Amino acid sequence: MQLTVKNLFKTLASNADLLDMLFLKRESVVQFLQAKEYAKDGHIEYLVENGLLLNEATHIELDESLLTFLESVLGSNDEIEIGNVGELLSDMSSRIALYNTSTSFAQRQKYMKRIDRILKKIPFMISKTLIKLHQHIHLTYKSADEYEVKLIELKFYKEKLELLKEIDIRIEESLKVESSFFKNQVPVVTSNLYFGLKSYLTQMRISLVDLQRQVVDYINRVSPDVGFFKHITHLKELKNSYEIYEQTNIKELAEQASTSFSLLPRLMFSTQLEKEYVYSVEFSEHIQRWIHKKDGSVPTRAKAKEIDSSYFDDTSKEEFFVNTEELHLEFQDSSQDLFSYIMDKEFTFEQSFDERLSLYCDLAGIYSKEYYLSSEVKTYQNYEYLMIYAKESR
Amino acid sequence: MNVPKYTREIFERLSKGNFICQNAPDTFEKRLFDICEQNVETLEKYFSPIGFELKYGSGYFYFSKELQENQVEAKLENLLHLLDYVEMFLQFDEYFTVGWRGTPIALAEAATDNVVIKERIEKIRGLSGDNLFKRCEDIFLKMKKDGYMALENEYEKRYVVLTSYEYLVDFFKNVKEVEHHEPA
Repeated sequence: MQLTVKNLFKTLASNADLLDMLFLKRESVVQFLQAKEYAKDGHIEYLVENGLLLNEATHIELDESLLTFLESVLGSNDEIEIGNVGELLSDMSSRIALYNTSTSFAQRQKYMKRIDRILKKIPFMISKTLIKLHQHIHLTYKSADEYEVKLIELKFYKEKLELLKEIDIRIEESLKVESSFFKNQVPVVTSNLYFGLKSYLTQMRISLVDLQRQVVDYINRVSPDVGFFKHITHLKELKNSYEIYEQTNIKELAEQASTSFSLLPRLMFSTQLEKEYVYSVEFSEHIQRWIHKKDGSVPTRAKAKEIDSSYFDDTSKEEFFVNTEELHLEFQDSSQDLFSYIMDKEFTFEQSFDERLSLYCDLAGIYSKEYYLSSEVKTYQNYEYLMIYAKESR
Repeated sequence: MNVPKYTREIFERLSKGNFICQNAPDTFEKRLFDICEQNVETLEKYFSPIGFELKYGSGYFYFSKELQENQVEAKLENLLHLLDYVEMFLQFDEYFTVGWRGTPIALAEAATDNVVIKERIEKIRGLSGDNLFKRCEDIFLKMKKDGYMALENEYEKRYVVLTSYEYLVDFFKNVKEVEHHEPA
């Protein structure tokens, strides 16, 4: 027997308890025997026969079309279905093309009615999806136990949001292509629906951006470093059992790793000393201690290895220098003039005439204040020299 | 040497044992971070001759120095003390990391319901305060003093974990168990 709408509702009403139970337990398995408790004899078989129930081996469930209908009417579908929007857009384009080519008024009316339905259905579907996404995202973040599960689900919703963004672009493009049709050829009701959809898309974009920001924030916050937590807990256990130094490399690491000042006692230093402090006994003692510490802290240098004798020049060299000071004192005791004195002087080593002449000039220059410089000039081997005498001898 | 503007402020902060962090709520500190980031080499050369080594990690700068023998103990003691804090915070919230926000009240509430956290807080040495809330407050203050947290909202007493926390994470991650070989 083929079901009519009237028959269908009558059948559904007479099996309300069974259908209600199957709908509530749609996510779990209901055994045939269990289902029989809710229905009269032969009713389950009748429903299976008419495609309202499915009998799979030993269990019973609602047929997919009835389940979709109930979920859709009751708004209890948890699935996020946004793929249909694309189909609706294609449908709308083909209906517009048909409308434009059709000459029959009745046909054109039929196409327009379908276009109106699509224009109403698109925002309805999107807002339903958005609300569901919003609920799922928050619920997942707050209630999922395992962080891995949480992360996978949030990433799934993030992809859905991206899909919604793509659909938004597609709707916008479709409406743009058909804009002249909606602006010029359609009745006011359809035109209102068209502008209503455009305005809805603008609002949706704002919600979409906000929701996307939220899901990214949740994803960031949902990734605890589980490994680090375990590691820290283990270190804490070792510390509590006084084994951390023995069992780990913490001591070596503390010596080697760069040390932040925050881990050390606060440094106390001042770039300007107070005057009063400088003259205090305390400061003096501090300096004494510091000097003592500094001397003690000078590292003793290791002896260098012996230098090879080949580095040394073993030829000796003797150099003689005249002690001008001694010569000056001796001259002061003599009665001769400086030039004659130096020329006659018997040095312990050989002095040439030029060297003697140089000594004359040196003494005359260095001790001029202690000598008497006469105006008398004499000549010796083409050299003119001034007669200089010691003051005392004069 | 041409040093950037605010070098004095940078020195003052770092030499006091503070970090300069990218996510600090203080906008001036953020500015100092940008200056450090743009002039790392100049500042390194400037501070180095006076014995201050400018170091940086992911999102933070600090002064470092070579340890003298008697300072190793002090450093270790401080690190183990911080281990207690980090472990306690992770018990409180496993998402405790850079950017995490929390208040002493929330910690005290969690400790009231969770005996593990309560036990941890009670066993932490050096905390002042004779009640649970005061001790929790002291924990946040200590983290702030050491440069790993900053007060973000004074009214709510809400603190935020700074990027410098990565310094501790890096250190503890490098602590590995060593194998002891029995003498033959």
